[in-house]
Amino acid sequence: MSLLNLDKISVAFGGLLAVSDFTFSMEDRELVGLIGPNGAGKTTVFNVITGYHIPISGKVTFAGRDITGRPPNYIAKLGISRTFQNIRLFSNLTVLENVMIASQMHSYPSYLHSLLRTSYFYREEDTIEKRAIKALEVVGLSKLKDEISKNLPYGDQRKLEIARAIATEPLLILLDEPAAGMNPRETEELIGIIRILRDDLGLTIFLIEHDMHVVMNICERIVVLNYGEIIAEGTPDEIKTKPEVLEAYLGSATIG
Amino acid sequence: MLDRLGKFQYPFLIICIVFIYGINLLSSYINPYYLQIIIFSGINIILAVSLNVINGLCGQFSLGHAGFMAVGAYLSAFLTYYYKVPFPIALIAGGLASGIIGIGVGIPTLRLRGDYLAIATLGMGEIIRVVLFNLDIVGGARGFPGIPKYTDFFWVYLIVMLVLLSSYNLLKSPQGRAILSIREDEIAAEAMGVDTTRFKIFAFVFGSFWAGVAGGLWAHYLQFLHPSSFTFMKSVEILVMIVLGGLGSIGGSAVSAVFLTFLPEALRYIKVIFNTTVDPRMVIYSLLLILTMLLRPQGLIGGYRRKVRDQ
Repeated sequence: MSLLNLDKISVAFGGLLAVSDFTFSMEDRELVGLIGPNGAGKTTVFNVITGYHIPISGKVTFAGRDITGRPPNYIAKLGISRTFQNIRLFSNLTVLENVMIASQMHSYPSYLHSLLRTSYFYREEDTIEKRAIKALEVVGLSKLKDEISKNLPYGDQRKLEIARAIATEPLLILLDEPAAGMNPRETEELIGIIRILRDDLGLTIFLIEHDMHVVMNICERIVVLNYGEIIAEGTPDEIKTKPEVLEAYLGSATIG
Repeated sequence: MLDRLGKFQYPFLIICIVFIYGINLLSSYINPYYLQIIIFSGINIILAVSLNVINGLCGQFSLGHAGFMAVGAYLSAFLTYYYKVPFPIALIAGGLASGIIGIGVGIPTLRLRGDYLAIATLGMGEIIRVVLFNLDIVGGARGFPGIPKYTDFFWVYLIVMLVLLSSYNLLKSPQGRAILSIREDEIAAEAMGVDTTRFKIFAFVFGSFWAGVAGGLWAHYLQFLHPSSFTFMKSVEILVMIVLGGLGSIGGSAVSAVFLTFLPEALRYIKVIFNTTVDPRMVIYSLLLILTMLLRPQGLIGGYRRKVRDQ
């Protein structure tokens, strides 16, 4: 059975149909790319999966459970985490605090423990912090853990978002344009991080990306979206040659 | 300061209680005018710190703090006056009543953001005041006289300690981080599994509980209550304290609550010194507020920055 299933999802904003009859499924440990021109509805698809938009029709199933229209925090607890296209860090908090907010998801000591500072509270805090540091080590930010996150360079902020997303220990992670604004060196590092997520952490990854170098390098399967509809689906090599993709997405007849 | 104590919190608390008790024994030697300012400072610390949890930590702009204070004040006074309920129990009852009203108000209004929430909580505060105006059993528009005088230095500063300690412990806990994450970015907080509605309501209830307790202390110090004491100007007064101290800084709120209680009193001497007939006290007070905000927009202590957790 597939991990994530989207069945005929349609999303409308007023009269505009942002996504129509989007049907798609993902197997466990797959790495799928979602590409398409600006405004094609890629982020809307992510927002439907994570509960920020409620589709007007269709059904989202995750690990056999119907999650259509459930609130984002519920979906996060089931094991879907995400990053945001326009970085959304907790900017006045430190790097470590940012990740701890994510890594504490499965272990809230009760208010009583927190207010009375029991030894159980201290044990939980230690676990939360260790989990957060582990996530920071994956993206290589553990040295910067006491920095205020808004002071980080742009590329590190993107990495911090990824650290935060994996700290919730998800099954599926949705990366919304992780390479946006990164320089070539950072992009290479990012490709390395994404490989670690899949190979070492065993995550299923769904990726929106405009940087074709990233998409063609790491994705096993690519879905192309235009005007809210899937216009092509296949391996990177298949996608590269499909004329409808070239026409709708790239404009010219070259890739890369 | 308090947060660095870690596991030594309880011994520290006991030492503080003994110390406060000791000062209380000496309080009859303190000039009653000074003692009154000291007690009002304490009550203002409680009010400011509790509002700071709502406005500064959770980022929910509430203007209804005077309303919550009124609920606690009237209920605890009602209990001690009519039923001779012991003072601590009356205080807790006042706080709980205020907290319950906090839940009732919070659930519908916390969907609103920023200015809209401010207006809604302002309206709530006014409703409470108007209801009290028309409640004959607590005196209505005539006021509520004859409340027993139970509040003294000991009770006020015992509760100041508890408010500071509980706010610090809340701030440096998973719940506290969840509350901060709502202030920083509600959408991202949701994606990290933070149930934003639940934590917003918790912060709101936590703040209104302590406001209710502060109201109880206030009632049993003044021995007289009148609904007109709880207008929205009272809420603004508390708001000024937390903005001046630095939004999100618990220590800052406490310091500026004391500062702003002493300042208007200290300025009374200006009239004496310059031997004028007009009293420029409130003008100078306002000017000082403007100046502080211009020179230190982040507040006296500076908000939004803390250490990660206890070491």
